[in-house]
Amino acid sequence: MVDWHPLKRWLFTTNHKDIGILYLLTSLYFFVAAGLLALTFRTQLAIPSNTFLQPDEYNQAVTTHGLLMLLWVLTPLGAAFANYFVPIQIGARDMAFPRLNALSYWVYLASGLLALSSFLAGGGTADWGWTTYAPLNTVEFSPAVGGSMMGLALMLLMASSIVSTVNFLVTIFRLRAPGMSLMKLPLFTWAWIFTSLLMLWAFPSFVSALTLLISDRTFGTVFFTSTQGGPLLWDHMFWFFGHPEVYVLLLPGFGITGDLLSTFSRRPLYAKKIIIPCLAIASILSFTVWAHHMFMTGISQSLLEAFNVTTELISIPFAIIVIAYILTLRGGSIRFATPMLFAVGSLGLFIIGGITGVFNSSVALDTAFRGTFWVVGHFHYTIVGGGLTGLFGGLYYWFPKITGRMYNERLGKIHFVVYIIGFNLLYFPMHLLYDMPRRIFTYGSSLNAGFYIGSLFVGYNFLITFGAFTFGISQLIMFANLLWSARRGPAADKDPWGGYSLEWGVPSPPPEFNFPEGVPVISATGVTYRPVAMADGGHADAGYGAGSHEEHWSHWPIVVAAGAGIALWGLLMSLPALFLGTGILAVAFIGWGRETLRGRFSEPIEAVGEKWPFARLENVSLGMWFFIFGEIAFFGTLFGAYVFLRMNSLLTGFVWPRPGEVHNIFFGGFNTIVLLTSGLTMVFALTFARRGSYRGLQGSLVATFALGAFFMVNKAFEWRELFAGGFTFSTNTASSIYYVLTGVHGAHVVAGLTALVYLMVKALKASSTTQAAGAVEIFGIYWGMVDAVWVFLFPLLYLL
Amino acid sequence: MIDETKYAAVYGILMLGLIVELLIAVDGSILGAFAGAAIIAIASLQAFFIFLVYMHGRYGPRPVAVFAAISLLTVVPLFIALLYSVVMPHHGSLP
Repeated sequence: MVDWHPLKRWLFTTNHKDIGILYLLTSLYFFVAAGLLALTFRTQLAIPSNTFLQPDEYNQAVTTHGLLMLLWVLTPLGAAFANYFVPIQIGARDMAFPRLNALSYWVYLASGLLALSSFLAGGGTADWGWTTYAPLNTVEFSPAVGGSMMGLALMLLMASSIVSTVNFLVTIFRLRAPGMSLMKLPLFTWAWIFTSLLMLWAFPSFVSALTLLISDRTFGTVFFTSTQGGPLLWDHMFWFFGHPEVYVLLLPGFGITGDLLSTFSRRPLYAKKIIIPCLAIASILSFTVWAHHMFMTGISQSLLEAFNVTTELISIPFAIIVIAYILTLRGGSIRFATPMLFAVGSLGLFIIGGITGVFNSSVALDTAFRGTFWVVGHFHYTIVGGGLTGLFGGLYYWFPKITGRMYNERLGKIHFVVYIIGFNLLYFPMHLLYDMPRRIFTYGSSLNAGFYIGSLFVGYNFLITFGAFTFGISQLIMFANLLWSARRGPAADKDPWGGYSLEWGVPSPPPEFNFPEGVPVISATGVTYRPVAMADGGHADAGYGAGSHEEHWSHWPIVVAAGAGIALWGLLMSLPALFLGTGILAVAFIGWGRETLRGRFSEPIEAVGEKWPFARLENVSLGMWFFIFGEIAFFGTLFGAYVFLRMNSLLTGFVWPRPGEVHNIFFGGFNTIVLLTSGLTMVFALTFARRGSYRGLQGSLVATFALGAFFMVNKAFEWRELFAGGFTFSTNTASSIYYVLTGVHGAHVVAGLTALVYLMVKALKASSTTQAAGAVEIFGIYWGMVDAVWVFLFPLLYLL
Repeated sequence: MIDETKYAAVYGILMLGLIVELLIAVDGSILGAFAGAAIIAIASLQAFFIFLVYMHGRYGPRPVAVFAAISLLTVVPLFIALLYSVVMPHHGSLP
């Protein structure tokens, strides 16, 4: 039982259910904040020539509303349910890496607070729109430091998301209960797999774009202010993240909708074996459609045609899924409880959003609609209708499981009715404003007011604002209902809905480690619970059924997040704060390492279960591999930026420095030898560790560290020489990309050297070298990636 | 000793690749217009060997290679689009 101080529990918990609740409450908090911003700018637009907001205030409100809703509300709201229910749905006791899970949450919170604090940074926050288009995002047009702070907040959030993604993928692939094959996973968990993969491969490209942007704004590089880079580079990098992000927002709610339709019609999901490949196809295609957001940028006709086709293609898998959802209802015994109402509502709204999306895939129609309120209407039907509405269905569905109490059904249904009315009043008229520009802070009431806004449009805008307030009020009904019910609602039994998935087989709320009866074993006949020793062959029975929160709390995740938040705030606002934050981070990392080395943190023991297709890897190794897959996307996007700049220099008349003109080829070659040699000593370390050669292991690790450090010293020397020669951050695009690429790579080397120190201490303390071999192998994978990136950087920057 | 030999052999390949890259860069006339492509091809081979032997080793089962390949393929459309955006003629601004 949990008998420790509640505050301590919530601050230091690593339990997936606690973290799920923290995500839920925090994302709802940001939902209120972003919603209030929406009401503010909708008030401004309610009547013509309104002066409720000034132009800059309007821009900041719209920008922050968009960023908060998309990145700090919708994605984390899905993560809240994923944290709480994915481990239970797969039959696990917790996530694969509970401390990293806590870290993801606290970094998410720190990033959100950093984003909101940017309002107070002097000059206001980012005002460039959620798409952060260049050159609006440059210092020239957005000089306020709050804009840079928003950029750093976004980077922090991306870091949190990527860590979370790695954790979820390892958990789902490695921690499934016996008999829980991938095809038996509930649709929500499947949707979360694809959401995670999309985040893994799409979010790093946004980190790359933000790296260039922050570099421009902070260090004076010239990516988005030069003719070689400029708006088109940002557009590509941003939308390469931005369009998969749409599916990151959509899929969790969409998956919940499928499970709800099945549960509340008492029918298995129709054609689940087709739905899952369709989700996979849609996820793959989502990486090939981004330039439909760029039809008006002047890119070549052949690209327009290609993206027109891929965008139309992506509607096919979704159309199949929608049909499967509808057929699930056929012949079912349907109960219209509140979750089901939201599921059906979500499906209907998504169909409208999907159909209007097909309009936008057409170059001809998009030319007419681009930059108008039509687009705003379309994407809100898709993301809010298909995504948020499904998530709200999930909120009602799982509320009894999380709290152990039922919500008020009547209020739930009233919420749904007001929600649907408000939603359609808010977003449908936007389609009728298909020739009203979307990025304006006010409009006139007559033909003479700058551009044509007839009296009908004035009426639509008023109606939209009325709908916005109706929609907002509907959320108050939900909050009142859930807050009251969480304390006073009637007790819920463990399966109030007749649900199919594993969470409905455990008490409400679930006990600390989910399955008090033993390891769930899934078979064709149903679920049984085996004593642990039988289920895992006796390997992991010690402590499986026991354990408590106290053994699994750690105070380092919150300290790391606090340090990171303070350091980034200080980077822009205060040097002492930067030092303080960096100091806290250093202490936190040392503390984290000591906690691990001394075995003070014990992860919940996993049972032997389904691990296909990664049965031969350990959890940490697989986690490292997933991290590296994300790194491929990160560096791949940066290399893409390099190629773009390089090719564009040919057309814009900029003469890229010839090999040897700026950089010393042989010095670069020498440093390459140093780094590649460190790669060799690293693999030798692994060999010695496995052989039990203590001296060989220590010698190899020390050699790797020395060579890595020597590489960095050489790099610092090289930077100093280049600066002295006038080749600075802002000299030209060649210098900008050189410093960013080598800087980012150098940061990876420094991170690796820090980890190497930990590894050497671990090897010193290990009772045998083979005990340290696992950690050496994992670090070796990372160090190999650092080498592999450099073998491309050297020729790109020095030889070509 | 088999492991050490394998790792040392890969190291030799990496060094050989580096030397060839330097030679091509210093005297680009050797391969003419293909010099750049040859250097990138050598770098790709180097990265492949690092992945296959230093990173992958006997602990990296096939799914890892599959996911790594997918990760690479993910960014391929971006490369193509970025190149096309520059190389192909623009259709000009629209109304």
